Amino acid sequence: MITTTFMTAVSAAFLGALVEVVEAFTIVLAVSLVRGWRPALLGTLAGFAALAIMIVVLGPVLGLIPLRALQFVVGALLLLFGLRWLRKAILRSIGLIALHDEEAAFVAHTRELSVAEQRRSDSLDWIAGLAAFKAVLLEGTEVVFIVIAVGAGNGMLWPASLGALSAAVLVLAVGALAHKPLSQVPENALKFAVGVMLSAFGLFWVGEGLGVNWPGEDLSILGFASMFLAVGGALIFAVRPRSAETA
Amino acid sequence: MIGSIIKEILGLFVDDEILAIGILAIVGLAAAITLMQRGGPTVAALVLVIGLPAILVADVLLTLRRSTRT
Repeated sequence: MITTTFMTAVSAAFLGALVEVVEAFTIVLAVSLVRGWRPALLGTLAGFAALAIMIVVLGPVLGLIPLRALQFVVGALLLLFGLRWLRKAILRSIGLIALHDEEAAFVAHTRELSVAEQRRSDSLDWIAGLAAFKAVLLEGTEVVFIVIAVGAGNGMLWPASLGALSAAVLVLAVGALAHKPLSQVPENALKFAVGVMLSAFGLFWVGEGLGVNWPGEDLSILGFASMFLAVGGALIFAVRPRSAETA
Repeated sequence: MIGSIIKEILGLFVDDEILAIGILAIVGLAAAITLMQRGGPTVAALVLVIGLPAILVADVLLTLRRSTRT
């Protein structure tokens, strides 16, 4: 039972963080290639500092909230977050919205900074640093939320943090070696998998918060994940031919 | 800058309003059932297990219908 909870928390945090760190890395890399490592590093460090402040301020508050209320609120937020990812991944799979392309995102950010360079060359380091700061803060906030969401309600904060940290280390190591956007990461498939897992956690926790005794206790998370996987897969299977006809 | 960051953080949870409202309605209904003790947690569990996948399916089909109209 503990192993299942541990593994689910670690893998959900790892996969969620992997997607977010790849997105942040793309922007920071664009900044560093256009304006050098200094604004990229400063923006990244400022982003990490803002995240650390957020964790230091909000972390202790979590301990003050009654467990059931915490599970209910985090579960509801997790459902909003997870089902949103799942919906987006389904719509991308059936071709209704464009796939997220790290290569294209990298080109867009590089172009944005280059245009800014022609306009205001003196303040460009500031703009570039802000771009890196914003990327690290926003994607980092998502990672922090995922870690809290999968770990706070069942004492799995450390394993979840470990999962997220492993993803960050992996992306940074591969990114440092490749020195280019990590466009080979199957982002939509990952988002689909994370959406499934976060939705399963959300459903489980809202129920726990309401006093539901789920059959199999923590193991029911795997059942819910299978259910969302089946529903998402069936939707893609059923809708893809129709959307291909209309395209 | 701060405004746009806050807006983007809120956007992490709400992208499609219909889906967000649907999820909150299902969760609210499950909570109301539990609070009013009409059937208790078992009925609330059924509402969640059936309602949440249903709202996802409905939202995707609605988005598909909207996109084929335009």
